[in-house]
Amino acid sequence: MDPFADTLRRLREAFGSGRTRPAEFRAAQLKGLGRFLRDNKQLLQEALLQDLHKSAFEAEVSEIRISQMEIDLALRNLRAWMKDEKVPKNLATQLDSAFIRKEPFGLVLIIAPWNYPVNLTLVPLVGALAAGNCVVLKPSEFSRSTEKILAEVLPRYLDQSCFAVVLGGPQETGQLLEHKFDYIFFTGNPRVGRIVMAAAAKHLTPVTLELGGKNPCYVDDDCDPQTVANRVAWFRYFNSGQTCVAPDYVLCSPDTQERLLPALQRAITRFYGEDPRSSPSLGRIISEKHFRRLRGLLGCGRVVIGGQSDESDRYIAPTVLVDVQETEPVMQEEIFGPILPIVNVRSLDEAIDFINRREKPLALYAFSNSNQVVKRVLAQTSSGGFCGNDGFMHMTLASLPFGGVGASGMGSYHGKFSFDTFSHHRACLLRRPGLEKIYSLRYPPYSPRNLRMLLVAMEARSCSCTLL
Amino acid sequence: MSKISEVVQRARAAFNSGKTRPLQFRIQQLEAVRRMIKEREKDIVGALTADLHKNEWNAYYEEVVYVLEEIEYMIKKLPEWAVDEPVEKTSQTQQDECYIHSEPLGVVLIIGTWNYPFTVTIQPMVGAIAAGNAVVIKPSELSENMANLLATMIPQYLDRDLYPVIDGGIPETTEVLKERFDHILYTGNTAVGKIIMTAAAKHLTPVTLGLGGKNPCYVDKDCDLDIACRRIAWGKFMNSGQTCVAPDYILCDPSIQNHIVEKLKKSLKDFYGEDAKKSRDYGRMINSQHFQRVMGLMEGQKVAYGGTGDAATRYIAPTILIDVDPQSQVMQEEIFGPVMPIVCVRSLEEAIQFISQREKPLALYVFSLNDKVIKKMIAETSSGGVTANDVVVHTSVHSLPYGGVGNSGMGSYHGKKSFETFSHRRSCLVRPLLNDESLKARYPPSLAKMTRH
Repeated sequence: MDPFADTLRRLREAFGSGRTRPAEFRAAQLKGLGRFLRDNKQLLQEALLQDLHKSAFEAEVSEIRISQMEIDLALRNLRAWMKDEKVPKNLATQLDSAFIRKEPFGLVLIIAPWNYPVNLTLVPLVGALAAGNCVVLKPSEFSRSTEKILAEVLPRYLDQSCFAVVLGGPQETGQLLEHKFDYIFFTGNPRVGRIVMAAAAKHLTPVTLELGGKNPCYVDDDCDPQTVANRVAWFRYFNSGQTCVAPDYVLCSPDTQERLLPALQRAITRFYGEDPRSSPSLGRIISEKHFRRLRGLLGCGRVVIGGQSDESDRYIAPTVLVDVQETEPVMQEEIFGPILPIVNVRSLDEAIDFINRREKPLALYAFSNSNQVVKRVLAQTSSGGFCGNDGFMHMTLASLPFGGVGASGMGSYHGKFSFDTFSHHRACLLRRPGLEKIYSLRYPPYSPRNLRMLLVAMEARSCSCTLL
Repeated sequence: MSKISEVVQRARAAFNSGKTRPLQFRIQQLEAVRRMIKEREKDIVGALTADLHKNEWNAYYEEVVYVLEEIEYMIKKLPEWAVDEPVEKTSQTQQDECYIHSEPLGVVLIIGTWNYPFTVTIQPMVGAIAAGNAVVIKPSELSENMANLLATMIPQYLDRDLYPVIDGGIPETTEVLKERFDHILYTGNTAVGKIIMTAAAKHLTPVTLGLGGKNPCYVDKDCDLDIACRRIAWGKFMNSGQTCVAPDYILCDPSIQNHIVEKLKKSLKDFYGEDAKKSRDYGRMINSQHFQRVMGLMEGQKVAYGGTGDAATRYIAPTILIDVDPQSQVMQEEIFGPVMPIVCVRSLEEAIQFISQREKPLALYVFSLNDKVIKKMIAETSSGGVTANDVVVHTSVHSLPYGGVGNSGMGSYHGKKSFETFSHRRSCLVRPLLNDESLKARYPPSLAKMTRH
C-alpha cells in the first residue's frame, strides 16, 4: 500500500493542467502564506515555545519575521523574476531573440528540519511556489507542535490541489523518496543528505542540500574580548545552540582564551541572568536523544562555564569547554547545542591549517580588529558563507545566497536565489528564416575555401561560432 | 593505493598548494590549451577522422571552434568574473562589506563522451580551469584515438599534476568514481548518469549531467519549408546524427509530410551528393554496436529515403522514415544516428501533447513563421533549451546556459555559466569590530523589548 501515490498523482495532474503558471495564481499562494503567518502568529509562537522553549523574541526575529520578509520580497519581485532574462548576443545572433526562460520544474519535495521549523519550512516554500511548482512538504516530526500547525492549518491557506503536507518518520520519508520528484530541497544533516541524494539519483532529480558542519570561529589576539564574547555568545546560544550556522568552536591563542573566558561569562550572565535555567530567553533541546548526546559532550575537555543539565526539561546550561582535544567527540561531530569548546592555536597559520584539515563548514567566522587578518582567513579557507566580526548576520541579507559547499551542502537559496533554485533555466534562441545566405556557409560540401573564410571571420574577434 | 588514486591525490595536493588561485596562472593554462589546439590541429583532426570519419572542416567547425571561442571569451572575462560581487545591503548592514566571493571548488572530474570527443571534454575543462580548479579528465574510450591523443597531448602543454588524463574503459571509470571530487561533470546517457549521481551522493559531490533524449522538431504548416528542411537536414545529419542536440524526430501535419521529405532529400543531395558514402563530409557510426542498433530501428518502417548501410565501414545512409508509429522502437529511444522519423500530428495542440507526455528532452525545435505558434510551443512544453526556426545553434551562444532538465540532465555550463558551475559562490559579510552598543537591541533579555500582541 503506497500512502503517497494518490497525493502525488493529484499534484502532478494539477501541475500538468498549467494551474500554477500564471503570476496571479502564484501571488495568491504567496499572499495565502502571508495570511497564514499573520493569522496564526500566536499559535506558532506557542508551538515554538512548546517544541524548543523558543522565546517570543527569537520566534519573531528568526522565524516569523524572516519568513514574512521573504514572502513580501517574492510578492514585490515576482513578475520581474518571472520575466524572460535577455542575454547578450554575438554578431551572428544580433537579429535573433536570445533569452533564458524560467520554468517551474514541476513537483517539488521540501524536507524541513526541526530547529527553525517555521523559517526553514516556509522560506523554501516561498521559492518553490513563486517559481510555479506544486509542492509536497514533509515537515520534521521532531518539532511536533509546529508540525501539527503546518499539517492542519497551513493547507487551508493554499490551493490544496497544488500543495500537500505529508507526515512521518524516517520510514515514511524513505517511502516518499522512492517516488519521482522534479526537485528535492532538503535541510538536515549530511548523513541523511547522502541518502536523499542517492534516492534522487534514481530518478535524476536535481537537489539542494542544506547540511551542516562544525563552523569554526577564529578569534584573533587583536580584538576587544567583550565585544567578541557578546557576539559569539549570542550566536552560539541562540536557540540553545541548535542552529546550523552557529559558531561551533573557537580557535584562539591561550592568551586570548584567558581574556575571553571572563568576557563570555559576563555575556552569558547579561543575556540569561545568574540562573540561565529560569531565563525565558534560553531555549531547550529538541529531544531526549539530542539531550543525552549533548550531555555526553559535557564530559569533554574541562568545563569552565556552565556545564549544568537537567533531563526533565532537556535543559543544558550555556557552557564553555577548554583543554579540548581534537580527537574528543565534541570536536568530531557538529555540536548543535549550547556548548562552546575553545581550541588553542599558536598562530593564524595554525588556525587556518586546522580549519582546512577538516570538512568545509556551512559558515566560518573570524574576529579581529585587523581587516587584513579577517581577509586572510577568508582567502585561505572555504565555507558556505563567511562573516567577519559577527555571527550569522550574512544570513539576514536576501541578496546573499545561503548554502553550503562540500560536506555542508550544495545549492543555495533566499530571495531571488530561491526563485532561481526552483526554476529550470531554459536557453531559448528564436531566429528568423532570413539570412539564409549567410548561414549557408555552414553547409556541406565543405571546401578549403569555406574553411578559409571561416578562419578569417574568426580572426575578426566577436564573430563567434559565427555563421551558425 | 591504486594508480588512479595516486593521480587524484596528486591533483588534490597540487590544488591545495594554491597555485591555481592567481588569475595569471589560470590564464596561462588557458593560453596553453589554445596553443595546443593551434599546434596540434593536424593530430586532433587525425583522431577525429579515425574515430568518426570527420574531416578538417567538421573537426574545426563542429568541435575546435567552440573550444577556441570559449577560451577567448574566458581569458577576456575572467578578471571580471573572478572579482568580488557586491550585493544590496539592508539598513542594518549599511556600514558593512557585503559581497559574493567566487572560489574554486577543488578537484573537478570531467567524464567525456565519444560523439564530439574533443569539445565535450575540453570545453568544460576550460571552464573548470578558469574557475581555478584542478581537473581530472576521463575521455570516452569509444573514441579511442581521441582518448589516446588527449592522454599524451594534454600533459605536454598543461600542468601535469593539476590536469591529469585518465585513460581506460568501464573498470577505470568505476575506479575513478570511488574517489572524492568537488564536482563531477558527465556527458553521456541517462542510465550512466544515474550511476554517476549515485556515486557522487556518497561524497556529497555536486554534479552536472549532460544527458540526452528525443529532441522533437515541430514543423508548422505556416513556414518556409525550403529553409526549414535545409536547416533541419544540416543539424540532423552532421556527425551522422550522433549529436545530443540533433533534432531526433519531426512532428508535422500529414499534408506537408511529402513536401518535407522532398525538401530534406534535396538538401541531403546538395550536402552529400547522390551517394553520401562517397562524400568526404559525411560521418560514420562510432562502432558496430551502434551501427547495428540504428539499422535495427529502421526495421518495419516506411523508408522514404536511404535505409541502407554498410557494416564494414559503419556507414548508414541518410534515412527518412514516414508515417512512423509512435509506439515503434525508433520512437522509444534516442536515435543518435542518421535516421529521421516523421510522425504525423493534426494540430499544434496534438504536437504539444505528444511532446509533453514524454520525457523532457535536451533540445526542442519549432519551425513557424507565426510567432504565436512558437510562443505557445515554448510555453506549453519544457526542454533543456530551444531554438526556433533553426536547430542546434542555441548551444553556440556563450551567454545561454547549456544543459538539460529532467531525464535530459541537470546543471549547465558554457561561458560564464561554466565559471559559476565550477565555482563556489561564497556569501561574505565583513563588519568592523566596533563598540557593541549599536547592536545591543538584539541581545537578551528580551522581555522588555517584546510588545505583547
